[in-house]
Amino acid sequence: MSRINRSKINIQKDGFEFTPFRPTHESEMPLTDAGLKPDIELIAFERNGERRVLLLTEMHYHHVCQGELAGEPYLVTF
Amino acid sequence: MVDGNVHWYGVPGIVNGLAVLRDEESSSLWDHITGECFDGPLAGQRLPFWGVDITTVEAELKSYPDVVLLKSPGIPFFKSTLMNVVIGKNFIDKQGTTLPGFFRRSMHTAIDPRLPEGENGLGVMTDDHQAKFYPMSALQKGESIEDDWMGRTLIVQRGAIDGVPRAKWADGNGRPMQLLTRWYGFSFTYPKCEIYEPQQKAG
Repeated sequence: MSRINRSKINIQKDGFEFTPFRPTHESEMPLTDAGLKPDIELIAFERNGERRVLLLTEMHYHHVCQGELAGEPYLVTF
Repeated sequence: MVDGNVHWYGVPGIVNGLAVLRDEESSSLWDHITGECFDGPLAGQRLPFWGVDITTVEAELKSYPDVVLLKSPGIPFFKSTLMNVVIGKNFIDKQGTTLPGFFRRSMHTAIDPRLPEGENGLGVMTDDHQAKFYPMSALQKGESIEDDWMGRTLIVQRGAIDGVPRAKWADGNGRPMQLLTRWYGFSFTYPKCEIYEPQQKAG
C-alpha cells in the first residue's frame, strides 16, 4: 500500500495503546434510561436487524468495540 | 472473521494520523477504514466491512426508541482528555482539528492541500478505492443535493435533527460505503479522491 510508509508507523511493540471495548451483557442498557442530553453524539450499528449505539466520546478513546450481535461477530472502529 | 476465525483487534498506535489496528492472533496491522491488512502474516487480506451511522441521542431515539446503548466500563482520565482535545467533544458540527506533533510525524507526505486539513465531511467510496468527499459546508442542515458519481445519481442529505450527511443511490439500490470524516484522514486513505463542488446558482 503505497499510501503507507512503514517507517512512519508509530505503534507500540506489544499490546494496545488504547484498550479496546469488548462489551458484555452488563454493558447494555436502554438508551432511554441512560439520562443523556439530546445532543450527545453516538455511533449506531446494526447486524441482522439488531441495533446498538456507542457513545462517540468513549470511542474517541477505545477506537475499537468488538463483540457479537445477533449471532454474528462485529468490529466497530473510530 | 479471518479465514473463518474471529480475530481480536485493538489500536497499538497510528500512521498518517489515523488509528492502526492490530489483531492479537497474528500481530498483523490493518487499515481501520478500509479493513485491509497492510503488514504482517495476513498482509493482503481484507475484512468485510459495513457502514456505521454517526448521530445524536435525539435523532436516534426518534427513529429507534428501543435501541440499546453499550456503555464502556471506564476510560483513563488523561487519555480521554487528550482525545477530546484532538477530536473534540462535538464531532459532527466541529470544523477544524488540532493535530498533535506525533500525528504529523506519522504522515508519509504533506496533507493534501485542496481542502483545510480539519474540514469535516462525508466520504463515500467503492470497493475498488474510488472515492468522493462532500464537505459539510456544502450542505445546510436538512438540505439535500443530487450528484452524478460513478455513472449513477447519488442523493446526499444532511439530517434535519442531527445534521449528519448521509448518501444513498437515487435508483433505490441502497447506500454506498460512507463515513463522516476529517479531510486529512480521508485524503490519506483515498489519495486523489474527487471533491464535491456545489454548482453555481444562476443570478
